[in-house]
Amino acid sequence: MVVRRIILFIFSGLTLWSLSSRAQESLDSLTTQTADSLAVSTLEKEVEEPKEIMPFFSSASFIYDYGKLAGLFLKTEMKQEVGAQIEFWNRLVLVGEFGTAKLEPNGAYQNANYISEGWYYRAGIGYKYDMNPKNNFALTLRYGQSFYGDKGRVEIFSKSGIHDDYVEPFNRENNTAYWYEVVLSSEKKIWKGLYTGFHMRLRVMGYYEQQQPLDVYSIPGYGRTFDNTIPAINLYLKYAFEMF
Amino acid sequence: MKDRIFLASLFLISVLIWSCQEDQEYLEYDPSVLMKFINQDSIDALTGEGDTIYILNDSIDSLTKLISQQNVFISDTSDNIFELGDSVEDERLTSEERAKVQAELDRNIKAGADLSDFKDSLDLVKDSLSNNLAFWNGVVNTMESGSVKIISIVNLAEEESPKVEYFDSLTVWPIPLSMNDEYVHLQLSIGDEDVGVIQQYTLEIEYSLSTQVDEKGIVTRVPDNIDIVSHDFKSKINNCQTSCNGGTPNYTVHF
Repeated sequence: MVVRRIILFIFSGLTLWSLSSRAQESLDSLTTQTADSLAVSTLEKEVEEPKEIMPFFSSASFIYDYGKLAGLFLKTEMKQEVGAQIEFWNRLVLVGEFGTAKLEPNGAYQNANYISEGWYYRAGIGYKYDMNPKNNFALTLRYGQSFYGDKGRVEIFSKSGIHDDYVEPFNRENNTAYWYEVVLSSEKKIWKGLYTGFHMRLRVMGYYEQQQPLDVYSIPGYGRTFDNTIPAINLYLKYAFEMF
Repeated sequence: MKDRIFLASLFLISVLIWSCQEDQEYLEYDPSVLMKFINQDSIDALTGEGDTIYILNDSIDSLTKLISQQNVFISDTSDNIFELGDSVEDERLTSEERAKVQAELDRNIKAGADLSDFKDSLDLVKDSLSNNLAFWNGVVNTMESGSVKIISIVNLAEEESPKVEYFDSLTVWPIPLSMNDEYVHLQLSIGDEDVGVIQQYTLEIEYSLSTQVDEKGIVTRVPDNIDIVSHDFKSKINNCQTSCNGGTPNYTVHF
């Protein structure tokens, strides 16, 4: 348990360091870009270089959500997520994601354990903006659908002791849910086609099958059902085969 | 400065993740029917005609009348003493007549003192009876409030007849129901072991059960349509079959 928490501590630190250094680098690059553009604007009057023509199919990428590795150290979840992305004219983005998740949230119900498990996909389209050769942002709209089951066991102990305790297992399979996402992504090229970045997501629930008496608590790919709109952050590594 | 913010953030994130690692809690709970028990036999034994409170009230009434009469006698005697006192001082009386009035005055003074003593005794007796009456009225009020001690409840529906014991008096008792069956057969022992008065009653209750989750995520079994189908109490009054407002008991029974 102690080792797990130390690893958690280190992992949290690395994550925070990654985010803060990304933000600092974005700021630095903005400053550099502004300075460069000022410099270039004075030079370009003298020398006008020929512009590269961006190909129609500009890149194809493979994405791995390394933030989900936190599940290795948490007893409440185990998630895996990969994705693929293709870009046209280095602007138009088509993205697809696939993931699996086993969620065991603590305190879902006070006197019942709860596990939801299943797989999901997301697909979306968006616009990418290169801030400079190494940094870019993207705004995408995505549709997500999850196929999952949930199970658990309600336990109530008879306080008086004159009646039997109540134990009621439940197991609900073949549930589906769908939702929509607005995703703002920021990434930085760290080596050749290798990028690191993060997604800031705002998920809006479309539909899920409500259950009685214990409702679905968390949905793989979406999260907790307590609100129809929930935010999320993902950290990822991306390798892009770029055609330019 | 930047390092401090970084370390503080690191600490906060770790605490947040740590705090998520809570252990599962479980619940000890019985669905219940709220019942009020009125000891009608004892109330009747105290308040019936010819019984303690009736006799006390009657005695206090008689004493009150008697004390009023004594007050009148004392007042009359005081008037006599006042008049005789004036007469003794009359210079027109002969010595023989004065001696006669003086004797009458002395007799009245003695009678007044005796009456006053007697009235004081009556006041003492009345106070004592009033205190007794107040005590027994308190006992009746307590019984009418439903304050009784259930010594134990036995589940007769189970072969091993498990029993739960209680140690305090309550005005409204939550009688534990089963979370698995929609029927219970119970034996209640009511009374006071110290006094040696224990009465046993049986009770059969039917109800329907549903599983409900409250806003805190606590899962409970909630009874509905509660019906006492059999009992050996004197009478039962059904106040409400499901959840009553403000802790009102579902049933009031008299025994």
